[in-house]
Amino acid sequence: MALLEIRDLSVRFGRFQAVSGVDMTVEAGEIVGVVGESGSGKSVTSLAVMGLIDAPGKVTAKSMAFDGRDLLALSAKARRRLLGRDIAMIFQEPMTSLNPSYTVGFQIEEVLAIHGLKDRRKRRERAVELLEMVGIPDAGRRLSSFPHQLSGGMNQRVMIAMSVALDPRLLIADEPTTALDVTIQAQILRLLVDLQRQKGMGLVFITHDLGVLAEIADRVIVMYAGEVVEMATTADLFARPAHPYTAALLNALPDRAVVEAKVTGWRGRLPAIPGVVPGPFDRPAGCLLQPRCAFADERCVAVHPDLLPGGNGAVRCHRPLMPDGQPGPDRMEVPA
Amino acid sequence: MLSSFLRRLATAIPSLIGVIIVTFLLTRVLPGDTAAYFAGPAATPEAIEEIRVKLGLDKSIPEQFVDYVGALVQGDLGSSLTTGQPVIQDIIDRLPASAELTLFGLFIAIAVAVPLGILAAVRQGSWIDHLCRIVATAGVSLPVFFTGLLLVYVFYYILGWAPAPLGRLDVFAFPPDPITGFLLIDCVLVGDWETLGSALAQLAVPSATLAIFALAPITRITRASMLSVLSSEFVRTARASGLSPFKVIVGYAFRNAMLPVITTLGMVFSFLLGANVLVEKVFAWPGIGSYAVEALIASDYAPVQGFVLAMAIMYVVLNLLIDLLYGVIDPRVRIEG
Repeated sequence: MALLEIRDLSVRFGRFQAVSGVDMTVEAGEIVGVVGESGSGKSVTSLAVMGLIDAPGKVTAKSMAFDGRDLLALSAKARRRLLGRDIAMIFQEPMTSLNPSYTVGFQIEEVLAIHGLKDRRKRRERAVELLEMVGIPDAGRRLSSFPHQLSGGMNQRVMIAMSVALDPRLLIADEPTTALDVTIQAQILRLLVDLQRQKGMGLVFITHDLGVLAEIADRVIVMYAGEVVEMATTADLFARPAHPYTAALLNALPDRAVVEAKVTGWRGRLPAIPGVVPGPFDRPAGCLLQPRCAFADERCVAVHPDLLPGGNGAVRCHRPLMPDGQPGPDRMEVPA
Repeated sequence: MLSSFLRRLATAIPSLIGVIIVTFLLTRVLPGDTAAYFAGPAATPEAIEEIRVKLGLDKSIPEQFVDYVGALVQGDLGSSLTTGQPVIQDIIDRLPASAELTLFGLFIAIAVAVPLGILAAVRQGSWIDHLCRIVATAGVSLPVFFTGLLLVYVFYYILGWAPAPLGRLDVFAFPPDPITGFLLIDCVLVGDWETLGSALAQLAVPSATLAIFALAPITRITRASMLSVLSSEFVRTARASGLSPFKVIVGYAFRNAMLPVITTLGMVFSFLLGANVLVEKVFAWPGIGSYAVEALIASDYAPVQGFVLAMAIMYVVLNLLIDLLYGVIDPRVRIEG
């Protein structure tokens, strides 16, 4: 049984469909990368798993099961009991994600306290232990620091300590390194992966940086405009992207472009994907990527493609790319 | 901590010097001849002149100022011409009445406005949010003297629930010997529950008048501040850690939403000091507001100066308290040292 199994998850805010028909499974001990541009529904998906979508947002799903328990059927209280203990989350902005009015020690101990660790001394000891585990020097004294007295990287370490405080089985990291500078990014990434291995957690790693996923993820889910457009193992996805969007994202990686430029002697602008992710009022008919896709034809404009097995996993495209990078034959005859 | 406190205290001194100068000059440029008023309508020019000399009003303005400051340093605020008492004594007698009224009004306002603002933010768009908006609009649109008269009309004249708006105590009730000057506290100290009830009944309508006036800004700021904090990332973190909604709202969000509310409280308190003057008139409240108005009408300088000075000192002390509170609430404001 998968640790997290989501079938057909949709989130809408009024008339805006932020996430539609997302399927996702996460096994224990696995790192699943979720990648996409801003506005592709990555964060909303994870907030829906946490149950943190507030009215007027509306979450529906065929099933959303954590360890076999349907999250949507649980009472608010029962669901809260899972949060922080079995499912934890790390956010993007370490400087603003901690409460400025309380010491970091207080905030870590609070999580321990609400999930049943009543003994004050034990809480203190555990908090010191956690800070040491995430590599904060002089942990005992740091507990009485306020978030504004620590750097961004330190605060993110505190966030990580807080999230793994109760050894959760699933950790969702929503762009945990985006707000940090590059040297710190690598440290935090290493820390997260080490902790994940040690504890055998399932880790959902949300990012817009494919380069990061290449290093750590077992599988990658590519999202675009609230839909999953491609799923594959990391190696396959990087070697042979089947969706034009995935291919374009890979081409836009500066590293790749630089290597290519060295080979071909090409000089000019880095490749980019023209246009922006459609918002609530400009969703195109047919395929959502169609206005930005180099290979779009009439059928892409008219018919919305389904997510079907293909490529190296599943892909949402009428004519998935072949290993040579060119669109293959139309999948019209594939039964829906 | 102590040295930063003292430093903060020292910054209040220039404001106080400024207040002393301005009030002195202001009372001197006001129209009306004190000597003539004091001497009465039938006085001869010689008699008026004699009084002028006696009061020191024949000297030049700088000389009068030096006299005034000299007396002030010795704690002498001059004597009121109308009551014949030293101003300092009048203020000491009357200040508790005003303070009791203002503080009680402010207390009611906070007790209603803060929960209302929090609920309005938590249940945005619900009926309680609309109620909050109505209260805020009504509170700023209705002048204090009008709400005062309206409440007297409804609760005393029509419904007969409130006693006659004639001061701090029913004419048949006997006040306890003053200990603190605060009637409510004195009653409790002496254990005179009957007088306490009577005093509370007298206090209810005027303090409600002030409370309605103070409600609006406090509710509005509480709501706005809570809304911005509730959408902040650390609130999301708290919820993601499995904290209960109550704990998130009261323990995490409200604490961070308090700074603007405290700032507003300070401002509201100073508005209330001004509104007091009108409310005391409407309810025949023997406070320093009505005392100052009467003195002003009579061109009686000393009480007006004393009143403004007392207000300024209260205001400075209040701001000092608010600054210190900031540091208690938000560690980022705390002065390190």
